[in-house]
Amino acid sequence: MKLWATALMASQLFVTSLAFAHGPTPQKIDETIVIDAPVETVWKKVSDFNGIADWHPMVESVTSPEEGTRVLKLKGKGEITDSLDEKDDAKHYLSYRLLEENIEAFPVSFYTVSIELSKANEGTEMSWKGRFYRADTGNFPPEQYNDESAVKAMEAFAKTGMASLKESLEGKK
Amino acid sequence: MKLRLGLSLSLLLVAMPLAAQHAYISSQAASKITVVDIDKQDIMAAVDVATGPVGISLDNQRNQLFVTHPEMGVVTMIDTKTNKKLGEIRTGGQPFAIAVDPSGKHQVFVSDWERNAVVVINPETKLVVDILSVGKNPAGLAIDSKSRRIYVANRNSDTLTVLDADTPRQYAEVKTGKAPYAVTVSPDGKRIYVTAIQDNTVTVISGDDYKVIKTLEAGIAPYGVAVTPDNQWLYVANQGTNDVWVFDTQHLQRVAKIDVGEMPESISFTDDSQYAYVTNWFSNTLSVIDIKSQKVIKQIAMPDGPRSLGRFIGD
Repeated sequence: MKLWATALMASQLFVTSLAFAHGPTPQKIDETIVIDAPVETVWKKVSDFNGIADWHPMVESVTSPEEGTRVLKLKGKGEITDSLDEKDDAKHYLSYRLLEENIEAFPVSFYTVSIELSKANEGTEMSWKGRFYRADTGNFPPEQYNDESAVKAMEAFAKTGMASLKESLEGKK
Repeated sequence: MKLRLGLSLSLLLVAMPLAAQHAYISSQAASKITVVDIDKQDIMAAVDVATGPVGISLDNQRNQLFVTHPEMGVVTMIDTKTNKKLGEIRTGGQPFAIAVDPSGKHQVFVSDWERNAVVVINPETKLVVDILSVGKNPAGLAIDSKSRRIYVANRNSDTLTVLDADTPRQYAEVKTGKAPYAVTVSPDGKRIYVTAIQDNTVTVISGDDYKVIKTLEAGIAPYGVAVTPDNQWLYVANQGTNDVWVFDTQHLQRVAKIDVGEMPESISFTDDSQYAYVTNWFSNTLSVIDIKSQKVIKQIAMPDGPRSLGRFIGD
């Protein structure tokens, strides 16, 4: 009985944990930007869950197989799928999570993201927060799948999206 | 009236043994354990530890603290009298949740996320004495000392494994919600509560026959779960909604929602059931909730990434 368990353990020791969709070590990003446009104007763009390709230059196109689910085709890369958790029009708050990972397209095995808008003088402060796990959640990840690569990818996606949204909304004034 | 109140209060102080309680907070990104004085509701010490501390368990009889480091495959032992490191125990794999056997028997149970197992450690020899096979990616783990049972939440099998605390024996594998994370046992051992991150539920399981009694709806992404020592209230920390939901354990009905910090993770109570402490992973704070008024009375700043999976308040 015990021997069995031990043999089972030994065989599992060498299994790569790449297939696990989650791990014990989350990372975070916390980005903000001030956009010179009213909160409602920014919210109209941000709250349209399937409309992200309109303002995010890293997203080529979006399809929605069912309500609350979006498949993002990343520019020059593959697809990842998000699932909407909460959309609160009064709080201007949106949260979603990664439903299907594709670490070759985006080196993160799982994330939850929340975006919130608040009034800042005449404009809007946009906050983008994420909790996520590296692509390879084992203890010896290759460089392209480690924590640093995951943080870089999450940061780049948030920053590029917010900067582009700011540019388009402020330019239209 | 005032005089009598003062008198009874002073009598109470004399009568009560004043065991000083502390909260031990693991900050995963800062690689620190912060010690909080419960009487003062303030930080009293900090201990530098190995990379990425997560799970916490206390041995109140021996004044020892155990901390897991999933990234390193080690468990740190700390002397809670001096707040100095006693050493590290090499477990291998990814040690995650941890529970000291409160019976006094010298053994500590650790869930190993990577190897789908529960590792049993002897803290005296600092050696692994057994490895028990469980479901996929075990996360939370709890022990009921009286019934000698270990409960393990298998994150990627959607089950709870029930093991014996003294012999390598499995009693049951119970279906839970999707992606179970934390698990706690009621003080009388009669109920086991398991949070499920992906379908936003808490599964209530009988400690007698391991049947599901009820499935409670929680907020978005429930993580930490705990029952007050007086067995009256069930607290659930929801990461997606940044709040704690309070259920009355008798009727299993929700009685309050308390806003805490961002992405709350773990909950523990003071022995007198007066205060709940909640780690907020994203906003780097510790919320102190007054249980009677169901309000946050204090937020204490913590080093980056406070988690403290497990029961983190003790002597």
